[in-house]
Amino acid sequence: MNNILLSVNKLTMQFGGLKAVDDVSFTLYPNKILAIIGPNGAGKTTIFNMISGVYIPTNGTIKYKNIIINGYPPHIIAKMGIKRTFQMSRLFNNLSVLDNVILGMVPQQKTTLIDAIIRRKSIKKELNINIEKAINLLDYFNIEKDKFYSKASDLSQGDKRRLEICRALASDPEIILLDEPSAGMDPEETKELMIDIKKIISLKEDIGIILIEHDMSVVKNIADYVIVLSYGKLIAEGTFNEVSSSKIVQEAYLGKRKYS
Amino acid sequence: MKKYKEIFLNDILILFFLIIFFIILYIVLTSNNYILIFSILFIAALLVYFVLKNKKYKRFFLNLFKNYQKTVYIFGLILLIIFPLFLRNNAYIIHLLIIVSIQIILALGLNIQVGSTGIPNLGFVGFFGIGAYASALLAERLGVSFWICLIFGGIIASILGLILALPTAKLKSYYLALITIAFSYIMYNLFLNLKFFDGPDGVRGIPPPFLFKWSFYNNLNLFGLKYPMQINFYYLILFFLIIFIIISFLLYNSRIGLIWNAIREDEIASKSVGINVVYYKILAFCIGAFYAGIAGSLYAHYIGYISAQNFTFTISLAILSMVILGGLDNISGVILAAFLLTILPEKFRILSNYRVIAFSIIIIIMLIFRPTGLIPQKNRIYSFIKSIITKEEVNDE
Amino acid sequence: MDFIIRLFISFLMLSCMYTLVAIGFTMYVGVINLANFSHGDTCVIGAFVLMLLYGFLSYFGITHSGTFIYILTIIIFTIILTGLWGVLIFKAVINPLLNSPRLIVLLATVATGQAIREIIRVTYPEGSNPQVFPKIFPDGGIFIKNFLIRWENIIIFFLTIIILIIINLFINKTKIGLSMRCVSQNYEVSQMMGINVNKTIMMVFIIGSALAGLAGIMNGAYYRITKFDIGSNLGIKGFSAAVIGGLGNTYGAIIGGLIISFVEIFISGLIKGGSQFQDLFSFIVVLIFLIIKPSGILGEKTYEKV
Repeated sequence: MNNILLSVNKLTMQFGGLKAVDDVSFTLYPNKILAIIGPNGAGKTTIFNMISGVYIPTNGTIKYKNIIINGYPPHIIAKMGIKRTFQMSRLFNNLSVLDNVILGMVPQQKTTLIDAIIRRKSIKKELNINIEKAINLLDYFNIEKDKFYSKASDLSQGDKRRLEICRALASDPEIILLDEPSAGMDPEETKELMIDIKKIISLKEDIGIILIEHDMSVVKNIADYVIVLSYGKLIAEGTFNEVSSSKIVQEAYLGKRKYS
Repeated sequence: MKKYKEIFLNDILILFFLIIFFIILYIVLTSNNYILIFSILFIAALLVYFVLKNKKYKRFFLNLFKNYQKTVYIFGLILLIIFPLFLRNNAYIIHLLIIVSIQIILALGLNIQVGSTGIPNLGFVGFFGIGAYASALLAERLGVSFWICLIFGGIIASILGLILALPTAKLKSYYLALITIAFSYIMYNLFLNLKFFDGPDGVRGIPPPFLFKWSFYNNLNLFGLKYPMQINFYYLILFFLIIFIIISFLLYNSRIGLIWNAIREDEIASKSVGINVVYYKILAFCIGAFYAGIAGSLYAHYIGYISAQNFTFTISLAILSMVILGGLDNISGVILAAFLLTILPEKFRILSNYRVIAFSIIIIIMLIFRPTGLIPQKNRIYSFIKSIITKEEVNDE
Repeated sequence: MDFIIRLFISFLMLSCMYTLVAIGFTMYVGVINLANFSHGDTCVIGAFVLMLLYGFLSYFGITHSGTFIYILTIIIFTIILTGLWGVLIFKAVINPLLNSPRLIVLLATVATGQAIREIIRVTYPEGSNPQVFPKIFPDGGIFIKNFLIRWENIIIFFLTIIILIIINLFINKTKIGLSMRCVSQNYEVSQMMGINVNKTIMMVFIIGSALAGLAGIMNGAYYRITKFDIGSNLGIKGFSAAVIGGLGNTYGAIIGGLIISFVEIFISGLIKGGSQFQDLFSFIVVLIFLIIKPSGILGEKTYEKV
């Protein structure tokens, strides 16, 4: 348990007068699923944005394998091994399903501009490796073969979510951030999603997953550890059972009970 | 033996169709008889329509093109080379083809920026101009050989692209649009007003290319026949055109082209998968600018005279309309569009007053109804897994 | 001393011109996140429509050209017609492209602008040439310490300020303005909240175009001349002014207008032969601003929603 994947310490994000995230700390270990829950606007996606480099934290540190990554640009963080999905799917809509996954492998690709013009063999070689890997990944997550050349925008909602996960996994990341993966899914699809998320762990054993979720059945089923955010502050943490029975958490979600 | 017979027959078939195409092209270009042109185009269009409608014929031709791609290119190239030999008395038509080729190079360059990467560059003409002036001035004032001036023009344009892109690649699309417009206005102003650029009269007497001691302005003597000097430039520019077309395809079919498309689709998602968006935008700027710089140099040394009036904002829009009409990042479409948008206005001189209106309305209509362009374009297909998809093609029937 | 005052008035007038155009751009970017590159050319529509109306009416012998009512009526009519043009543009070009990538809509507005320019050039008699603009402003003015401040200066100046205030009030205090602000914040949620997003966007185009019409009229009336292609230059300068001031902030439009016109007046007024270079310098200033502080002086909406 000595290898901490991600260590977030006193993380704060201030937009003008608003503290979207206020003094939040947590740790992510390999092979573990950490869930971040909390009412809307609690600052969950903001945390993801800070970890993935979209925002620069106003305060606090984010340590990835003991390197402080505050302020690193998003593409560097992706190359270092942290990938993410988005609340509203951000696929490369007009590109094919296959191309979306191949693009996920950018951090590991080595061919250059010169190769593109002169050394076509190396391009072909790399492409073949990428395609094979992409096919395997897509297969593993049950995306049908005849959809491989479809435009990403033509997929069903569930397939889109899975495609985004495939794209994130394509570069063998150490950490994957899933932002509300079950949004818009019915109970059947949610069950499949939980299986898919568990598949991520079996695919790469020491990967760490951070999950933002609203669907408590998902959290209950797969999260190893839960932290609860409300108005940017961390108000509770622990296992799902510990957290769900906490009065503070219940009040945050439901509001203080009024007795007549 | 049977296989060789089949290949041979197919080769003849391809050659036949290509020759028909070039004959039609010849007639359309050289004839002034509108009725003749219309009837030929109409018949050709009808034939194409009926072929496309009949599934069997459609499949046959598509397969033919797919399997015999190399043959099509080789025969096409040969025919392109011998085509001007029939235009001995039509120097103007050769000139037209030269202008078309230069426009195609420009359109391909802009396509890299707008079509592949999604950068709204409304000031592309600035690169065209600086390439032309850099090359022209180096040749005219310092007497440097054309071949060096050509590379110089391309490189200067790229450097200018780099200078423009470095501080601006991070900006949102409408800022970029504004900057590029401002950039092209600044260039135009400089060309017009600065003594350095021989403004406002422009640079005259730009020396033509020389091959050893032989000037490209000399008429060409081939097989005992005298050919106008335009034909020299035709071959010169055709050579570079082919190179640029090949480079465009190579880039499209590589990791670079795919990354550019990703940036066009969604910059934030691109960053999240590890793409250094700023780097690739700058790359697109520089490479596209290089195309324009070379085109500018070729233009300057062909025409022999350039001035600020050759590099106005309207030209940026004209090139842009070729990219849009052709379809963003649809190389074949862009080539066809550049060809049509250059030739058609020439042929229909009467309507030249309405040319720009027609361009603008075509752009709007294309953007609304068919942003993928004239020629339909599928996603990148990888032969690696073609077999998996054959099932889909069978279902197509 | 006289010279400086004159220069200052020219400066103020030019600022107003650019500001009037810039307000429209600020609206388009602020509400729909769209750079409408046909806005400048819509201003020219306003100018030409007014000239057409004038010509039309005088053809029928209706020329009480001196009367305030007459002039005002024509101006109002022109503005209404230009506003209707906004409806046309919205229905024909913008509406079909609402769900298209930003790049495509931007290119469509560029093409629209060019179409406007060319249609004017081709359909208006002698369209390629500069046109004399009818006299709108009365002669004379107010004397302040032996110096004459002409009516046009006063009218244009106060008109610009009034419009700025009205637009601001409109966006901040009216129901439609509220729906505009909602749409600009969050397109999807606005729809869910029952706001007719299409209608809201159309309103933006109507108001923006009407504004453009007014700006075009003022421009033509002040310089007494107009031409089919001043729209592109006006549009770029107006957009630049909006950007320098800070897109999404209506008051930024004034600041941007002041800065750009300052550069131009300064260069052309105080440097010999400068008028050739004034465009060059204002564009260089814009470029510098875009490189150093693209969000503008007053700042624009920040923090893209991820």
